[in-house]
Amino acid sequence: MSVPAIETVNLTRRFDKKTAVDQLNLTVSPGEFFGFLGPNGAGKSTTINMLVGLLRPTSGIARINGIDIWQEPLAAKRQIGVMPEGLNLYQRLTAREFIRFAGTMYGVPQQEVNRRADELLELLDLKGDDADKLIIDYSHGMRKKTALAAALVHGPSVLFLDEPFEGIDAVSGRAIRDVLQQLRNRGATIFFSSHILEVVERLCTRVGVIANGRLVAEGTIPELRERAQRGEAATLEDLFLHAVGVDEEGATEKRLSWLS
Amino acid sequence: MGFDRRRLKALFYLRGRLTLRQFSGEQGRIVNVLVAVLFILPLVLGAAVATGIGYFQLPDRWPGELLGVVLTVIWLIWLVFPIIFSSLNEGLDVTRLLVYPLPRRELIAAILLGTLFDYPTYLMLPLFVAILVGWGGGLALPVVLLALALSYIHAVLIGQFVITAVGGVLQSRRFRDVAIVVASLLGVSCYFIQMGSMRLLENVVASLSPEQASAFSPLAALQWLPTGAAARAIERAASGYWGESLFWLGYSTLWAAAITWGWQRLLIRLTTGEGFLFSLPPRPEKQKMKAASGVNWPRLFAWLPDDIVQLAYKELRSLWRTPNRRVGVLQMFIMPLIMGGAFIFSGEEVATELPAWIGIGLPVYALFNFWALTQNMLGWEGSGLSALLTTPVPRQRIFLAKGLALTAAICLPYLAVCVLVLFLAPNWQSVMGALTGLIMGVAGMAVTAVFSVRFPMLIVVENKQMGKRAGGGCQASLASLLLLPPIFGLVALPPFLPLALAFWLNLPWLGWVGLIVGGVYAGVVFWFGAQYAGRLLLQREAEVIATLRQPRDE
Repeated sequence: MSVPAIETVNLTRRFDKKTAVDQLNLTVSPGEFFGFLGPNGAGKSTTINMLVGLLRPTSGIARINGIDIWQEPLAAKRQIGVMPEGLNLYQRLTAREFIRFAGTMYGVPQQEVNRRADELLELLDLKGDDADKLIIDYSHGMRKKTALAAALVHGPSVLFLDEPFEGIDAVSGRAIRDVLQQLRNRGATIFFSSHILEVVERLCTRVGVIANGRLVAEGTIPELRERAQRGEAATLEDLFLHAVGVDEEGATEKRLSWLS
Repeated sequence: MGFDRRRLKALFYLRGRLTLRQFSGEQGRIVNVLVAVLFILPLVLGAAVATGIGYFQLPDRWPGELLGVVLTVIWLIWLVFPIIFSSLNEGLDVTRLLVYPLPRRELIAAILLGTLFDYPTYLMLPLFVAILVGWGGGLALPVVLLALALSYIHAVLIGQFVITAVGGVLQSRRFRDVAIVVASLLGVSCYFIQMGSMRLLENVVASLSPEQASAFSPLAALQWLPTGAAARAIERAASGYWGESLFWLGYSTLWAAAITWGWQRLLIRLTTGEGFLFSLPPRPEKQKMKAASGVNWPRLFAWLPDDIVQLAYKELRSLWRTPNRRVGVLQMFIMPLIMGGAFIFSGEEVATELPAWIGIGLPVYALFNFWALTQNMLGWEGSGLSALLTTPVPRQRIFLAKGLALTAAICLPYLAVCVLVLFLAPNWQSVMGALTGLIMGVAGMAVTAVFSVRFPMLIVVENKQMGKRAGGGCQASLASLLLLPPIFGLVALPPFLPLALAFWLNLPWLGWVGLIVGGVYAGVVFWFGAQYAGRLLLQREAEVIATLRQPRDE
């Protein structure tokens, strides 16, 4: 049996009295396109931050390709690419500079990193003047594409993306989707959180749903349908709402008195 | 033409809340305001007392001239103040209110009322009180009160007019970048500017003939400005010329009406989507960053590992491109100018009077620069820090690269000063002092590297306001204040001892030997400091990131 690409064992994070992630046990196999869903404040970003070494867990284990990221951080970080929620870009660099910088930090040789940066800029439509403008002057979509390019430049075997499609237009979304699809075809593991269920449904091979810090559902979409005892017609949105415990009938009853 | 009082009240409260909430979560800003008030208040009180005495004691027409100058200066300050501090309070930004169906008169009334929350408003009061005391006696009191009210309205009106007219420029990143640098450098150069202005004034006054001096009347020109007219009205009323006084009051009121009308027109432009009157045009393509496309100067450093070169290169670029950091670099150039300026304006014969041992003092300048520029190294990474720490780059290399880049940046102004000192005092003490300073600074960086991991302090790198917003725990603040300077000095001290001994005993060879040993010492200390800081960072990465997380204001 192959080593899981991502594995968490009782991963927990508390902030004062609030438990943001509670005893999370999750396994993602190599090559999977894993969608991580949950309502706002469910613990998605907290989980991703713990998995990539940006937030120390209160307890539990997080492994990347079998390497405990909190025990051997550098070895684990060599395997991953990260596009965090806040993007975390050096705003006074240009996209080209930032991508080259990131590639060098991952140990990609200089000539190669230049070539890859140019290709990524072209692919993500950041070519020309845009590539040499400071990131601080970028639109949200351009920043996302820059962050994605920086996360991809070293060809990671595991890619973490926190809300990659949030706040970007259809053209940029398409470009990002195509790149992710290509990466997946190459055998990389992709772990991404998103609110846009339609994209998750189209791209992901398996999904996990987190609510109140706990994993409430996990599996392929047909498996979730089966568990939820829903028919073929059930969309991911139906399954998601069911998993997080939102009563759809009840929701329609909650109406605004002054709008009726 | 009534006002919706509830709406006006809501706008007034909004402004009040925003004013108060700029301090919540950032208690450091309260300290900034207190420091500013403590600094400025004595100045304003002093000016009020001095002008108050002037109104009573100056002979002939000079109290009136003084009054004209005071009211015009206040008006000019309010004209410039919003340009520099427009981002102090979100409430100043009219554009945020434009989505609501607010009549323009309410918008104007709310904005004017909102100025009551600008603390600089209250800094005018002592000067107004002095005017009231100096001129308000007798029958002129109603005119004085009216003229002061007009002057207040003029002050706040011109501020809002300017914001509305040039809001497009104020909101641009390019303006902000330049303004941060200019405002900070102006602050640093205050002494320099003050001395220069005094000299200039002395020269102008000395060059006036008695006839010219007696004909000199600033108010004759200032009376045509809005608040100058108010001053003339007061002066005329005090002399019993009521008709003239009323004329000048009317003239000033006309100004107020004209500015209000102009401001309203500008607001109409904004509300109808025509935008600000002035905004910066897009930067021409050729001026945009040429950046890395053709430039490959890191090749010069091919003997270094790629990641160190890239990190150092990034550090240098960020040092220049980030306005708050650029201020630090420019200050290194300005510091010796200020110190030199103190000599120059003191009237001493500088060039010929410099002692031969002046070079021994160079390490002090070097140490100050190293201390100022290298502390809180990680704090300056801004939002990029998380990106950097998700990479597997060996952590000690981050500090080695930063040390390399920062030393290079410091070398530029430092070597310029050294050359100047060598020109003025060409001797072995100057050469050794210059080199010892650099060596000491490099050794000291070991301490700042470790402190930046152990006691990181948040700096909002892309702060949209003038000056720096900084935060951090009490422990980190105390450590940087009480622990860092002595340890930094202590670690940097050993290379200085042979230089001091060599100077004391007049044994140049001892200095040269000390220089070599000191160089090795500094290299070793910095190397081990970087290694230790790297190891420490690896253990504390999550904590450092949590402390240095940037607010989402992009």
